[in-house]
Amino acid sequence: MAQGSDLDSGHTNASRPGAPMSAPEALHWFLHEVLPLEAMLLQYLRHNWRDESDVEDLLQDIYVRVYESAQKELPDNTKAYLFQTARNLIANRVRDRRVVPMDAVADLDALGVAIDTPGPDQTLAARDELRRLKEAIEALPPRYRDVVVLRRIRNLSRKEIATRLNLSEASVSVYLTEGMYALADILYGEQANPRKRP
Amino acid sequence: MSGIGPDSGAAERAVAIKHQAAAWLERRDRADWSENDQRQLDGWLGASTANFLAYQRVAMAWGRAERLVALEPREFQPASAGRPAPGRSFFMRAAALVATLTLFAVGGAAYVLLPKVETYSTPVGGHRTITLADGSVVELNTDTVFRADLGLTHRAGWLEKGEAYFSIAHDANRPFVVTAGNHKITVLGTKFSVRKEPDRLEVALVDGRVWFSAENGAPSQSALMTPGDVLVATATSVSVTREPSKRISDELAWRSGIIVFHNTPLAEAARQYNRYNREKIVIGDSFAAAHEISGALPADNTQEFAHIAQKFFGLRVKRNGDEMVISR
Repeated sequence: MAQGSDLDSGHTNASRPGAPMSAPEALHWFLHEVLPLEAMLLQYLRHNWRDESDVEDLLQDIYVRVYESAQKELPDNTKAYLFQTARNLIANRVRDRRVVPMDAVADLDALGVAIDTPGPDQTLAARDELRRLKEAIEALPPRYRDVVVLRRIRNLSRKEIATRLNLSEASVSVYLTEGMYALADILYGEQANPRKRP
Repeated sequence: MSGIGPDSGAAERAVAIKHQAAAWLERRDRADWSENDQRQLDGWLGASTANFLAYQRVAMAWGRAERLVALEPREFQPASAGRPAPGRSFFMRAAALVATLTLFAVGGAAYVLLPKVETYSTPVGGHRTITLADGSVVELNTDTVFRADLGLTHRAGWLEKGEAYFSIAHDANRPFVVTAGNHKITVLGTKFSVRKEPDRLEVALVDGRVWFSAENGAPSQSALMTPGDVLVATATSVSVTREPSKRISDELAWRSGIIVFHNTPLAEAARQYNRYNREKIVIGDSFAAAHEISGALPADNTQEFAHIAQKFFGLRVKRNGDEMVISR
């Protein structure tokens, strides 16, 4: 397993004929500048879109749009660009679905996040990430936490984990999959969806 | 990889992609990862930008988590590996678990001593979530009456009126039987909603399998439902349709206090609103009734409804005691 996912991406670009060669740069931007804003973005979407069940889809749509556009040109201000995309997307959906505009949408700007504030400095961000990683691991349900810790931090094999926790290897895989899913959600989305976790 | 049907709504699709991404990452993390696996993964990643980004995101989080190796490794002693993890949160969690187990034990003992049927209800505009002794959760919508009887060998519930969403805890030895009027819904463990109106019964299945049957046992009135099915039963007929999951989640929007309309005639929209509110909306004439409404609206806010009628349809709204009359 490669360390970060930046390194993983080499082969994937080759298999995406549409992706220009600047893709690694866009990916780096997405992973390091966009993902850390996910919690804020989710909060914004929940404020401005009543139907909670659409939020994941809105978020995914925003990611696809900003990433595809970043492949052509990186934006100057990531935060401003991200929230502007979110705002446009919501406006489009209101129009397309003929959803009656509601107060929530009217308040779009009033509720908007202060997008002009500069990001935190890198040292602080790095320390913050470590704290959030710790919290993310601690927030996992116990069984998932055990499997994730043994695999990721103790580097035990699935077989060793299975023996140690008295599980089948298949169960270890299931816990690991869900643990990976939840870890990303907690790390980036700040426990946004506890009910979606197992 | 779990497949997603063409019916899946956008929201479920987004979540499904995230699950698939995690499943790929888990596979890739195995020792037996092969070139063929890699080709399949490349195919999946290349299929859409959404797939690609979901995978990068989960892989990034997983990659970053390795940073914790450097940091006080003892902090993350697994809970079941002998030594408990230090820290307040662990003990609080443990205490909470003990408390829960105690509650279950007390609840169970009380039940054995005093077998009785519990009745739960909500007033008009009410919304209530109940956790039954078996861990099943029942969410009652407005103006609903539900009775539950949980025994050592049986689990039974009666929806006397109204609407409820059931998350039934799995128990293969004790099927949960929900009776609504002349019909029975039998499940082992699943999620579904039931709405009982005077002349019809509607069941929407979210997860798992349920067996729907008529009290008189008529086979023509029985059906095995799978997720996405919506069943409508009247006194004489039963029909099952497969609905896009978007529609199912719209049906269940009441759980967050919302009603969703899709080109719904105003009279029908008013009828739905009136289930939730003491102040009743009356559609005064056929001109007003002919309008159709789309969108998601808060169920408890007749004001919002009146506002739309006025502003978007140019109709008149007149208050008359407990009634709000909408007309030309």
